[in-house]
Amino acid sequence: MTNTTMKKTALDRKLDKIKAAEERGLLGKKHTNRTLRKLTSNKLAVCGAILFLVICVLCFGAPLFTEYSATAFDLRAKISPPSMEHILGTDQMGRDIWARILYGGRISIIVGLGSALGAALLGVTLGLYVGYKGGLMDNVLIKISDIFQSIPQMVLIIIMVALVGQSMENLIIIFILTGWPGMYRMARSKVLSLKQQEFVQALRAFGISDLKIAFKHLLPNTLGPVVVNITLSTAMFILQEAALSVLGYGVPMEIATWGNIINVITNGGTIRFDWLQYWWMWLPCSIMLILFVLAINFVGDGLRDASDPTQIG
Amino acid sequence: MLLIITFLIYAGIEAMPGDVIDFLIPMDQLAEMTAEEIAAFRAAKGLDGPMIVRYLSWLKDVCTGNLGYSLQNNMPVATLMMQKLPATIELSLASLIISTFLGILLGMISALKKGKIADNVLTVAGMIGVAIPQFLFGIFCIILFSLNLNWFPVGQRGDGTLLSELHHLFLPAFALGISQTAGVMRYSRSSMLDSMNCDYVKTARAKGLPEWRVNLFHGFRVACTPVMVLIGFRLPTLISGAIVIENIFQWPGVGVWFTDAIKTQNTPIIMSVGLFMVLMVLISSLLVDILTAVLDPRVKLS
Repeated sequence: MTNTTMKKTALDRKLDKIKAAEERGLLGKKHTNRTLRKLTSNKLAVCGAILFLVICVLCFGAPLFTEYSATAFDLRAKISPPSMEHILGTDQMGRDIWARILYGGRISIIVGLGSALGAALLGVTLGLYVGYKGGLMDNVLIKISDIFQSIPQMVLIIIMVALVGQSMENLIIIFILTGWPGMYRMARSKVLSLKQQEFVQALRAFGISDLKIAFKHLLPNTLGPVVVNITLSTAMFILQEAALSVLGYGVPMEIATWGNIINVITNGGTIRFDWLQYWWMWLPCSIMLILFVLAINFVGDGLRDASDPTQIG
Repeated sequence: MLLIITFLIYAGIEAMPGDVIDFLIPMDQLAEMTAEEIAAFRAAKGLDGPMIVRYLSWLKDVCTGNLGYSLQNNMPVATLMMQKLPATIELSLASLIISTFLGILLGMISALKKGKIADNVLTVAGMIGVAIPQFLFGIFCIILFSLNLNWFPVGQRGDGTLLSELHHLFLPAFALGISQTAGVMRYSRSSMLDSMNCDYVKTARAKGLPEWRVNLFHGFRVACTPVMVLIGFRLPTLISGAIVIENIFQWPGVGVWFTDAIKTQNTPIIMSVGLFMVLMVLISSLLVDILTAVLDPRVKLS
C-alpha cells in the first residue's frame, strides 16, 4: 500500500488535485449538462442557433425594423428597385419587399415550427402512452400510421388541402396530421426498448401508475431524438409550405409568406426570362428562406451529435 | 390496407367543397338546365347514388381492370394513364440515376478524404443543397438554361427520337436529381465512414490488397446497403416529389395531371393515381427487402 502512495505518477497528481478541488466544492458548478456542453462546442450548431434567433427576432419584431405594412398597396411605387426608401424595392403591387419578407417570415415560421411541435406533441404523447400500454390501441394506431405513411406525403397534403380549403390554420393541422406518424413510430420504438429495462420494471413493482411512468420516466429518455426530429421537420415543413404555394395549394396568396413571395416568379404558371432583371422581388426572400432552413439544420445536426451517446466528445 | 386507403381517398374527394357538376358544365348552360336534366346528367356520369355504392362499383371496376373514365372528356383513365405514366417514369428514373450516381460518388470521395478540403467543401455544399427548395432550384434552372441561354426547351417531351427525348428530359431530370443528391451524399458518406472503420477493411488492407480494391470491394459493398435502402424508400417520394418539378417545368406527366384532376374533382383520375402511388410504395418496400438481402450476406430473406 505504502509503496503505491510513495510513487505518484503525473496522472495520480492530477486526480489528487481534482479530488482536493471537489472537496472544497469548487467543481460543483462545472457539472453542466453534458449534451449542452457538447452542443455549445459545436461551432456550426452555435452559428445556426444564432442565425435562427436573429431571423426570429427580425420576423417577430417586424414593426421595429420596417415602417411599411406587408399588404398595403402603393401603386405609384410599383416594381421599384432597391432604394433608400424601400430597402429591397417593391413588387408589382407596390408592396415593400423587406416588410413582406419579415411579416411573411412570421407566418412561415409559425407554420413550420407550429406544425413540427404539434406533430411531436401528438405523436410522442400517443407513442409514449400507447406504446407503453400496448394492446389493441397500439395495434390500431400502428396500422393508422402505416396507412398515413404509405401515401406519398405531397399527395396526401394536396388532397387534404383541397378537402378543407386553404388557410394558415388548416395548413398547420394538415402538416400535423401528416407528420405525427413519424414521431409516433420513433417514440414507440424507443419506449418498446426502454420497457424491458430494470428501472421501468422497478417502477412498475412500486405500483406507480402507467401514466406517471410514461410521462415522468420514459419521456426524458426519448427527448433527445424527439428534439432532433422537431428541428429537422420544422425545416421540412417550411420548405413544403413554400412548395405548396408554388403549386397553388398553400396559404392564400393575399397573406404574405415566404412561399407566396417567391411565388411571384412563377406568376401563375408562366416563368419569364426577365426575372433575373427583377432579382429583388424573389432573391432576397429565397436567401432568407435558405438561411433559415440551413440554420435549423445546423442546430438539428448539432443536437443529434450531442444527444447521441455513441459519439464521445 | 389498400382497401382502407382507397376508401379514405374516395371519401375525401367526396367531402371536398363544391359540386363536380360545376366543373363539367359551363355556368350559363347550368343555369338553363332543369333539375331533371341535371339528374340525368349525373346518372350518365355515374355520379348518382350514395357514396358507398359508388365506391363499391369503382372497386369492382378496378378489380376487373377498368380504371373508369375521365369525367372531363370521357376518355378511359387507363389510356390517359398510359400517356402520362411514361413521362413521369422517365423523369423519375433519370433523376434517380443522377442522384444515386452523383450522391454515392461524392459521398465516397468525401468519406475517403475525410477532414481534407474536398470533404469540407462537399459537406457544406450538401448542407446548402438540402436547404435549397426543389422548386426554387427548378425555377432557377429554367430561367438560366432555358430562357436566357436557350440551351434546353421546357414544357414538352421530345418527338420520339432518342436525342430529342434526352434533350427535353435533361433539365427537369437534372433539377430533380440534383436536389436529391445532397441527401444521398450525406448518407453514403456516413455509411462509408462506418464501414471503413470495420475490422474486415483492416484485414483486407493487411492482406496487401491495393487501396482501390479495399475501398471498392470491401468498404463500398457494405456501405451500399443502407444507401440502397434510402434510395428504395425514395422511389415513391420521387413520384410525389416530381409533382412539384413537373408543375414547374409543365412536364406532361402524372404530377401535373394529378393536380389538375384535384382542381376539377375528377374522381376516377385521382383514385387511379392514388392507387398507383400506394402500390408503388408497397412494391418499393418489397424491392428494398430483396436488395438488402442481395447486398448484405448477413440478411437472409425469410
